[in-house]
Amino acid sequence: MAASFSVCAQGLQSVETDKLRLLYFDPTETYLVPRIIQSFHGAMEVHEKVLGYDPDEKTTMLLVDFADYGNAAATAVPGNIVMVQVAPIIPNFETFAPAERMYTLMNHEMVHVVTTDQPAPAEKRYRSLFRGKVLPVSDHPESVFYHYLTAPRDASPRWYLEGIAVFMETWMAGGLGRAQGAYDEMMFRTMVRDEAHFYDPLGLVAEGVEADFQAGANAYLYGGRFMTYVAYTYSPEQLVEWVKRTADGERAYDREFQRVFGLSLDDAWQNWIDWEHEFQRGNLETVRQFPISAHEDLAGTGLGSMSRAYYDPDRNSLIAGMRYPGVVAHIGEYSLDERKVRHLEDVKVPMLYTVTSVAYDPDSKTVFYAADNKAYRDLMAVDLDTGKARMLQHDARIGELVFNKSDRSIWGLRHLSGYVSLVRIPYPYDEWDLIHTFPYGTIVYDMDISPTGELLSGSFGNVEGQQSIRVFRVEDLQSGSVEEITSFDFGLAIPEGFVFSPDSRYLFGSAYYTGISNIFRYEIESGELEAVSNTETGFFRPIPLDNENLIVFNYTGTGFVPAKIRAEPIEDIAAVTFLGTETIKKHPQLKEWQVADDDTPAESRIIARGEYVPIKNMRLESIYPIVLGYKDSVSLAVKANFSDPVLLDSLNLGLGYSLDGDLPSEERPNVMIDYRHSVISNSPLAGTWRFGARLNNADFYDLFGPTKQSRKGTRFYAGYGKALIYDEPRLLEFSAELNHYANIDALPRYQDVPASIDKLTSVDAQLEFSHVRSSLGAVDAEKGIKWGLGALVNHVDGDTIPKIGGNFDFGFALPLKNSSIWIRNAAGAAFGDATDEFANFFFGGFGNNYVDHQKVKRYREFYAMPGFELNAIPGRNFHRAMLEWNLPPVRFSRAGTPNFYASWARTSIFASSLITNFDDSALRQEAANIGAQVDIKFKFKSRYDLTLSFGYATGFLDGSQFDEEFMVSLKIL
Amino acid sequence: MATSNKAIPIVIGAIALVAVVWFGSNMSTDEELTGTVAPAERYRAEQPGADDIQLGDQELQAVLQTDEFARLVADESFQKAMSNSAFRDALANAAFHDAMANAAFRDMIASAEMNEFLSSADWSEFSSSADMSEFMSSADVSEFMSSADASEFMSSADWSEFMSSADLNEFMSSAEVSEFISSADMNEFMSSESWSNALGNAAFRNALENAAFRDALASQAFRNAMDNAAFSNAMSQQAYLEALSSPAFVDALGNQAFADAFAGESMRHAMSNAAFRDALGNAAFRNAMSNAAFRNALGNAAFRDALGNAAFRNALGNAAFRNALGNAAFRNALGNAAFRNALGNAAFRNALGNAAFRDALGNAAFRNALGNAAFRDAMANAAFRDALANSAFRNALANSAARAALN
Repeated sequence: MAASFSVCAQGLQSVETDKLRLLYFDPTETYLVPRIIQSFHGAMEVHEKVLGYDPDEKTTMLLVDFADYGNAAATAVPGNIVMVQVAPIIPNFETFAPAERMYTLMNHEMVHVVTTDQPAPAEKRYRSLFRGKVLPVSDHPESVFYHYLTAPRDASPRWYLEGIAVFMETWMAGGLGRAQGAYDEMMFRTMVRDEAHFYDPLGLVAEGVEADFQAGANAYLYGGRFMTYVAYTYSPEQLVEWVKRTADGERAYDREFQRVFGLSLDDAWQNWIDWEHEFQRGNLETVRQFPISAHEDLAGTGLGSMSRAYYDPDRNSLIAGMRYPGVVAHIGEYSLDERKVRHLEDVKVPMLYTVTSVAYDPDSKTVFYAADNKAYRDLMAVDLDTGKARMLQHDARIGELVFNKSDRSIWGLRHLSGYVSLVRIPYPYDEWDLIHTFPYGTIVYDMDISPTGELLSGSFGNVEGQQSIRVFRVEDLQSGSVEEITSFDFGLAIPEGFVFSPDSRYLFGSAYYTGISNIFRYEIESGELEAVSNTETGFFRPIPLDNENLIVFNYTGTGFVPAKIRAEPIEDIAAVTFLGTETIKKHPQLKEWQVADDDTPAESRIIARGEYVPIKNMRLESIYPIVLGYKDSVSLAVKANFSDPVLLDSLNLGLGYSLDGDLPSEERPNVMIDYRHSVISNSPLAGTWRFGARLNNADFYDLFGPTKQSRKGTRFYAGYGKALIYDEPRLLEFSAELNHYANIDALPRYQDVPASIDKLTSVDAQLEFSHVRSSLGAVDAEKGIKWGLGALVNHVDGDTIPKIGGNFDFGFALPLKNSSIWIRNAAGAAFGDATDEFANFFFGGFGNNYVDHQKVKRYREFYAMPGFELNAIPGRNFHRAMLEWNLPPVRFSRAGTPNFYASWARTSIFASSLITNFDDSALRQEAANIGAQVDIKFKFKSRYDLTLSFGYATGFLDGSQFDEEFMVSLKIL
Repeated sequence: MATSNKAIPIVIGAIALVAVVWFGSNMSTDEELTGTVAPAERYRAEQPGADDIQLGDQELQAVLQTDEFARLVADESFQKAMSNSAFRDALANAAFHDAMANAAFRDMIASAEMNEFLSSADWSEFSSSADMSEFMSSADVSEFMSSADASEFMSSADWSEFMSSADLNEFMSSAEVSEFISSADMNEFMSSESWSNALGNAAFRNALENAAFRDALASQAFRNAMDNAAFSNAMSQQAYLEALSSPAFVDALGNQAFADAFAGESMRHAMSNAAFRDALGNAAFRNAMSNAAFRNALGNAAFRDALGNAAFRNALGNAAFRNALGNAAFRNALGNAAFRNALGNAAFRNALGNAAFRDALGNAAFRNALGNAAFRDAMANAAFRDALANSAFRNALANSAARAALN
């Protein structure tokens, strides 16, 4: 086993500059190293200049290729870490800047690092005291306080953090960003036109980022807009003063706003809403100078986010990927006759704006689509008539699908290691052929193939952000020539959804050329582009029925609505004004924020390189005092955390001493040691290893309520965990643990069952599978299955007593939005004497403490039996069945303040039956219960989750009411 | 300035061509909006161009992106090969890389004959035999393989000509040779002490004193051979005479099958080939012939087919390939079925033709990644992804504290 620990992150290499520690997979990501170093240092120079950032630590950046679309995430606690998905990013609907992606990602992510890490002198003092930034952990709620002291701006709402990142990314990229985003303008213009509700800061965090069809994107949209408004109205300098930490500033983002601007954030927000209405009314008046294109809506309401859609004239229906609140994203058929959606197949891991890529074979009525869009894409097919789906290629990493009728082939774009490759998938679709790999930085999207199969079109973007439409001969492509026969350069505007007309004369598509997404037609032979619509909101993804009639998708506040329009060339369309553009006009100093070209050779910045070995990079992360409960007494303790920069390995030490002088002296010290090691080579030992020890284990939550985790005596353990299937949402995990206990006075798992022995050794192993899904707005899984199998062997006093058990849960969504029914089953058996406590399971109670940090819905655990006392019902074997109805959550948009608010409340009703000792009539017990639990979710300081739960259940034993139980619990984090 | 609808291409094109600071700086005035499709005004500064972006070596990506490579890593035989340490060691070997750089070698591997040969039970038996192991690790072979003589010999036009000659092909394919080489007699003979002793004694005089030789000479088949003009001609060549003087030949002649083969039509054709005669005259070749495993291989039809393959012969003439053969890791790999299957994979062979890929093979991490059950997982490092799934890092990024670029 020792040998396994020398196995390190093989393939994970590290290079370091004076400010960056870059981890990457060699050799597949090696080519990106210079680019990352270059763009990181470019971004840092601006942050040092604009925000006055002077980092105390290196930023650790991890490059991965685990997803088919690029993205990145950053955190500053406990260390400055950025993870970058290197895949290409498609700027659908202009929801992402068209600039070179590493440039944008680095600019954006480093804003997060800077704005959450930048310390005022007070934070520096606390960081010195705690030896670092404290990560809030539920095991020790005191860490929440320490976290706030060491990194207060990390506890800010998402709109604030994303808003400033969106604002800065735009000007750091010379204007290419969402502060001048056309989608943003469209959204607020549409809201003003439709007199839609604008979220205030509270409603936005409580409801807007959770239940809207744009979900979390609202944080970017509202945040970016508000920041731009503030910069426009006041100045970029004052905006910067607000977001940076200074000696005389306030820790809290909202109080700091008041200090800098002299008015409350709420007032400023309202001012913005008023201003936005005025601004957008002006834009709407401008657009209305010329006749607005008539359109006939083909649906009564928005269908949420939609993929490219296909019209099937035989069925008079639209086929597309759809995603809207309350229904799991799916491939659906929208009947234009019945105005109803027919659900064909759920889309595994959809995208936010485009759901998935879809191609359609009208002859065989087969819909092709990509699943796993945020991982490695699978190629799927679903039969439109039968609804039967099948996987054609697993993890093919191919999307942007389009069907060639002439030979039944599918064409698509494959993303690998940051490159885009055009591929052809011949019938019967069991393999793909490479047509061409485009240079780094070239993105390709929205392809189409002409009805005759002769031409292929696509939208292209290059590293400079220049966008174009290009048309190729399919024959040329197949023979290795990638020379287009015609192209049209759109500059920096995104040409979106261009598709061939039935006669292949035109390409119809949309572009925000005038600031509004209108439909354009491009005549292939002449190369002439003409506008064919003038809309107030935005038309997208045209489906040409012929050269004069189109189905388009009209943007509304509830998503896209299919509509019919006439495609007649329009001579007069006015342009709208962008807030971002007005801002830089008013404050041209923003031009100085652009990241300058850095021609310093990246290689010259490298001061160290080598293989990354987590254990060799462990360092003290933080150390702080904690309070623990030991039985009914209070212990004071110190917690010390050690970890490597990407937290693969960690060592946590807790040393405490009970204040209760009545305790026997050997029970007063408390020691908790946990070491976790990740083996990330391709060895059979790969997985997470855990080792630890306890002496008189103590737990903070034992200070509150009846459930006790503290135990007398010593415990040594070794554990192992591994994801056998990691294909979200499909997961199969294996775990095993070996424990040895000594000097115990209660069973490790059953606090109220005294231990009659002194020593105990146990081994347990579990397999847990989960494949569950939920829709937008959900607070819990809404459909799917979960199962688990486990075995436990206790070795005590020379006896070996095995136990086995398993559970099987399945659920389905109800037509009622975000509501589901679940049936949960568990069964188990122990092999030993019925009087032996080690040969029994014990059931009873909700299991929640008054203050808790474990699962809220503890009643779902196999050992829970609300309506009975804890551990009240023993059994050598058992079967438990539960029927559970999860009611739709009630969302609150104005319950509390932005610093403490209720987000939602959800009620669950359950009934269960339990039979124990069913093989022994003398010991057999039949218990049942019925109960309900209400959970109310709160958020404190934008960052910390709290869940207040109330429960009630009545228990029945052998047919008669036996007991009842009330439960109240506050879960922290 | 007004912008007519018809002029959109010109306007957009102009904007695209000039790195403008103001997109649509030719914005229309209110009065001019009539009859216009006006571009929106958005600030755009000059962007870094392709030349401004620093990237590392991308040559390897040209291989990784291909369909062939994707098929390779999905191939079960390749995955098995990659899980074999001998194969991975071979991949790490510079000599192997050099050999792989040789198109002829790759073509040879790609040939149907080689494929058949590598798949044959004979080869399997041969390559895994103790004889082969002994032979390949012997000082003789090592010395031979690394000798300038061998290099010169193997790359000589003569050798190439000989190996590609139809005569040799026919000869080696003949039933007689096959029968002879695989005969128990030959086997026994080659393992005999006399053969061993003879290795140190090349005197033709001894041969003449050898009863077997004399018996052979007395045999009808041999006499028939001697009557043949080509054979007679061969006999006049110095190289052939030297061959005859070799103990191996002397003992071989004691074998009826060999004698028959020797007298066969194919042999006569072969003997008329100067290159073959020269080859026979080469000490190293004769030493090789002394090895039972090699002789058994010669008895294998697939091997002979391989010998008939021009690419194989060219590869044999390649110094790098011979160096690779001299490398223990490569020899171990040769004995491994998974390796052979992998070599039979077209995608792998093509990949091996790429210098960047070969360089990457020198990287232990890359080889380990290739050894993953599925390369797609290896590319992303499944174990690492798994670790992230369980790690605090992922939890940190998954919670609301992590700030994403996109939603």
